[in-house]
Amino acid sequence: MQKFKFRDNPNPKVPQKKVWKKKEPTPSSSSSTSSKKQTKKVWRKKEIPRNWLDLPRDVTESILQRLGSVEILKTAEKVCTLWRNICKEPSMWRDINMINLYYWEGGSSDPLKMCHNAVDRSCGQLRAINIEYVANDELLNYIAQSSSQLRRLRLFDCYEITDEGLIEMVEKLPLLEELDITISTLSLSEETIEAVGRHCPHLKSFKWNHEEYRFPHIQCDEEAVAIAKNMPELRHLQLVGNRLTNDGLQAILDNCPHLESLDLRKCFNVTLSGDLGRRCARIKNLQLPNDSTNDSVFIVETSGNGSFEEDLPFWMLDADDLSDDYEYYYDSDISYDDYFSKYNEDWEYIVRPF
Amino acid sequence: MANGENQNPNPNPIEATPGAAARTITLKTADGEIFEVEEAVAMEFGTVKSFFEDDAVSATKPMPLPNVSGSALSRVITYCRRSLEIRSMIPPATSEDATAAEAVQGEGDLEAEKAAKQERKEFEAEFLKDESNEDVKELILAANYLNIKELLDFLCRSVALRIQNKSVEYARKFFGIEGDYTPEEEAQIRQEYAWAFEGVDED
Repeated sequence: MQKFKFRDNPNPKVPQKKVWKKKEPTPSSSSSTSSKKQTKKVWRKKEIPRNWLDLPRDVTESILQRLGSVEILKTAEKVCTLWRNICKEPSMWRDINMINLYYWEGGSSDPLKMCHNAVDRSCGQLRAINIEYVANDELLNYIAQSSSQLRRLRLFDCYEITDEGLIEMVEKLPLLEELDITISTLSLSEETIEAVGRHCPHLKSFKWNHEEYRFPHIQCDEEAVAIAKNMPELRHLQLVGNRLTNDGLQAILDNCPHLESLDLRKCFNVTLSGDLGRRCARIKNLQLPNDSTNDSVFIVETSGNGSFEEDLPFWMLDADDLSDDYEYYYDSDISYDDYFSKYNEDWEYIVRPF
Repeated sequence: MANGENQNPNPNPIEATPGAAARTITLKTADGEIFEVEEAVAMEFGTVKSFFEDDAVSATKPMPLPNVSGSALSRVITYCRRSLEIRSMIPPATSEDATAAEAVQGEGDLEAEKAAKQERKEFEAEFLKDESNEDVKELILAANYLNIKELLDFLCRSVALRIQNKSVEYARKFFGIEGDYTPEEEAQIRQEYAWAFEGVDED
């Protein structure tokens, strides 16, 4: 990971522990003849003796990175030229998280354009990308064209992508290690899985999850068997809401000897007893058909208080999973009440709309 | 800063540990304060760790920290100490060939992990409660200089959280940054990124 070096400001003055937060902001009380804009500026300078531009660049980068790709494009880079320069660094765009775009579809914002822009900025150094809802085949292709080094891909509820689009994409991603397709209208045929397996020999993690279990009695081992045939290097497999039976499971266990985690929640056609049960028990992280999915992203209710982080790749936004557990914030010139009410609004805003 | 001013924050009481006495490391801050810290805690500071690993320096001489103030260091020590405690709540990972019986015990570990996570969340929520912006910035600078990844991550996360989904003006005010775009540049940016403008809440 990054090594933080203290570069820029080797000898900051010893700080005074001012209680400036208690000061009342009264910009208008002073020279009323000066323009309103100017008075505001004066007030700011008095209140904050040193500004945060003092921070070493990589620390600022670390903060801004946590805002998530969309926020960086929307806000962070408009703050000042320094931040803009930081936001243009390819290193800020190695992990792209295009989430919460749903909320802005109604406005003049164009989520696809944002995605393209984000990918452009990575300058070919893209390692991981997570897209919710808005991806289409064209975007998938766009990503693949410029980012052959992609390691991790997640497509959440991207209803516009097709099997062909996905196949075309993975053909150009030989280094792919993690593929997560959660909630999708893809049929994920044997052909698709075979293509993924063939073009991505390093694939270690595969997630293919359905939102709900619509047809409990239909059994289908096609996907399971295809996975078994084509993805022998898997360490992590997540098949929530899959229709596989014990036969399919057997095939997977037989052909994926390195499995460390297996998530079979809502796979109701599987019965883990006897020998099969024993084999599964040896898998380090096993989740059974009847285990709860309440903490998962697939079946999210309106409250955002689940700890999603177990189910999301670790590179996803930290800020997201903090959600409304953080009901405090450190004091500043705004009153606590203002903070608190804004705070709640913010986090409702970010909660997923299921 | 006079020593007397920081009565409470010196988090140093050398606890009586059963068995061997805890080894302590002495640190001296920019403003001349001396801190004696348990070795385990001090080793959380990457800078301190390399200092004592690379150098055959005796641990009795105080290590100078010219970029860190007493108040910041005291907060940092509090954080690291608590963080170590929380981490020790989780037993070490079980071995690879866990049988079914051990897998059940593994569940106990899962519980411990959850409890530890909860502890950490509560602790972190409290930790920054009364800190001003300036204090947080100082902490960040200290954590960066001392090379304490966990603390730095936490602080950066907290700051990012605070400006999440806020407007440009809010971010500027918060960080005390003056926008240095000319009105023309500003207009150009607005146009360039028109597709990214909607959806920000009012300040």
